[in-house]
Amino acid sequence: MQEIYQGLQPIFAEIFEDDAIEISASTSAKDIPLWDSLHHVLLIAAIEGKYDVEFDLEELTSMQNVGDIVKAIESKRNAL
Amino acid sequence: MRFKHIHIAELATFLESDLYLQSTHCPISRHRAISQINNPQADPEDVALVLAVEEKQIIGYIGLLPDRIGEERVYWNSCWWASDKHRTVALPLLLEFLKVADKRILLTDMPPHTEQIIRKLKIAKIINLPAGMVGYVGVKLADWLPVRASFMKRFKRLLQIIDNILNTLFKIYFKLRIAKPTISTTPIEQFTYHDESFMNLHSSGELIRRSPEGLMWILNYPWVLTKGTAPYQYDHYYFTAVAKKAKFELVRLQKNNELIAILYLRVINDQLVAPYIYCDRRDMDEIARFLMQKMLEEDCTNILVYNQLLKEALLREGSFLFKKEVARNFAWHPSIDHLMDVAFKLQDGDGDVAFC
Repeated sequence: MQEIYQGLQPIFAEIFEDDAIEISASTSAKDIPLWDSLHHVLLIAAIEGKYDVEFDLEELTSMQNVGDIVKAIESKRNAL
Repeated sequence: MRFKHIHIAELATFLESDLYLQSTHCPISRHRAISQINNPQADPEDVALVLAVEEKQIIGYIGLLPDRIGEERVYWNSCWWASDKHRTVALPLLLEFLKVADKRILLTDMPPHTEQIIRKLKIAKIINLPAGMVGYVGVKLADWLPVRASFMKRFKRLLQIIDNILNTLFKIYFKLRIAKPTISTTPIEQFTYHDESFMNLHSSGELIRRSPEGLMWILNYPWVLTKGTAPYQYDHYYFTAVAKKAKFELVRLQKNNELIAILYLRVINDQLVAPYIYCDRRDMDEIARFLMQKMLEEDCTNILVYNQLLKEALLREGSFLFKKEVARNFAWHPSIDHLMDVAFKLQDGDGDVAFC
């Protein structure tokens, strides 16, 4: 799981245009001003590309923080 | 957070509820709600509004405008908003919109942000309609220049005076330059059998066929009121509800006593739009001349048009200071693919564009 966090770090930095961003399980839109609906979609698209997974709209909207995203990635990988 | 669905039948009650009256953010203007209630295409059980509510406050909402393609129910998206503090509610609202509409959704005139989301989520097919045009016969330096150079804000009053002088001169110039239409116009207060037949004759290929009842609904229940006539303030409503000028007309154009066109016209502030046009294409030049004169009569600085035949006619018959190309998108969920004819036509007013 730690390697997923490490893998997500550069994606967050790129999508939210902040190299100094530091993510943890509880990081959410409240912590990142640029994290709006569009950037959420762009973030998930980048994650899907990196981890070769696909989330449907319901899964996408249920991800409230980085912890949720990591769990969703793990779940998809385990299902493969 | 919970979702609350407001059905058409519940809108009137909702307007008197604590949730509506005490919420910081207004999800719908009263006159828009009344218009929705009177939509001839809507059923009482149709959902008009999905609210995201937290601690008795509205933190986001998404609007639906019921319509029909033939006999089949579809829903236009009419608004979508989430508060800055609760941005994460935007996508769940979109998901709820899809569920409530049973995915039978249409979208048009999406702002770039929304279009990007729809594209990335792949929940609708998006096409770009043929480009429209904004043709200018006047200027608004007081609005345009401060956007480009913030120091110009100090000169707003002076710029307004310059605008008034220039626009008066431009009006004289265009009145002399533009050929006068050779037609008479009468307002439509009630459709005659002849009007209805004429509309039917000139509606072929349209995706959304408006009836006379539909046009009268749009005319009589506007979503935008002129400032000073709106009985309520809408400081915390983020969509257009009140304008300096809001004028709507349904007119017959006649030439030699023969009906040549039925037009629904809208002037909001200084822009003229013809959301619905019913005519023979051979009369489009005459309609273009009429609309050029109409712009001058109503002190408009510009006309917005997507109708390609009208656009070409305006370029032939009209005269402009300058023109700007404008894009228009249209999207639908794949579940209603079967309703889309290969070469369907949209009128400029389809969706909620007739209203605002």
